[in-house]
Amino acid sequence: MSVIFKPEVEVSTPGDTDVVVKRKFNAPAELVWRCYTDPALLPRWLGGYPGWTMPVCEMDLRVGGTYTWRWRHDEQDMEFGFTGTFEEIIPNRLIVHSERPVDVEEMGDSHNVIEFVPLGDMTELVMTMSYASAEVRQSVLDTGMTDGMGVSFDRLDTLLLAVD
Amino acid sequence: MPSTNQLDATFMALADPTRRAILARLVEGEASVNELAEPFEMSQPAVSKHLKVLERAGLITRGRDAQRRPCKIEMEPLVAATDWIEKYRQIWEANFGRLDALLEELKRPQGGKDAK
Repeated sequence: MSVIFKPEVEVSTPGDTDVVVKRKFNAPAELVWRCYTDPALLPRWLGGYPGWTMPVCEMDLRVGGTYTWRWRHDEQDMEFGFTGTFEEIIPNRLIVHSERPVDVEEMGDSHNVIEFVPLGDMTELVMTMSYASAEVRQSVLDTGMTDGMGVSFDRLDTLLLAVD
Repeated sequence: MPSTNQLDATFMALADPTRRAILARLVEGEASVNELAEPFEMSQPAVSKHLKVLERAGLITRGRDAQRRPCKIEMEPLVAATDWIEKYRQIWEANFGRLDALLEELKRPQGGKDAK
């Protein structure tokens, strides 16, 4: 059986326009890098919500190269995606790219820095998304909103840590 | 669902460590400006300034008592804010859970059936 290993995803919102998502993985940076940059592997984990597939995943992984990611929900006949340009690449360590949403209004352009930080046999993935304004950032985050969750001071603690 | 403006105001107010500390204190119960100023070693006017930001964001209300005007935390905007950050976090958690599974698969030399 697998060893139970479930590190927390940390989401924070430093400054007015950034969103930072951090997560540790029980694998070397080279392998996490492969999963992020291989068009055959990325669709297997990114954005695979129930009902959605990722029929388009094209990545020309070089500085100045572009990428196109597209998701599709057959049943609802819905599609959306992202496109952008790679601005900086350090193999197994860093990707800097622009990101422009396609066919999704509530998202906004961003400038993304994806870091693969080696921690022994593990890797911390640190994704920093910088949006044009606080308003754009908020509308992106709002897409993940739900109502009807209960009140608790635990969640306040979580929030106070998250925005730190 | 709260408006984007409300959430902006909430996060603007929460962007400051002193204001977060004030809220953490108010979770324990109502407090006057004097009581709040004490642990932070800040002047009363400086604390009052922070309280105004929190009040405008709807994160606190002030009592009517003219002398003391105790501050009280308002949970609703905070709950609205935690809702989205939690949901956003869960989206990534789902992505990364699948990535964990993929990494385990790739780590096995011949794509064997079971991880150790």
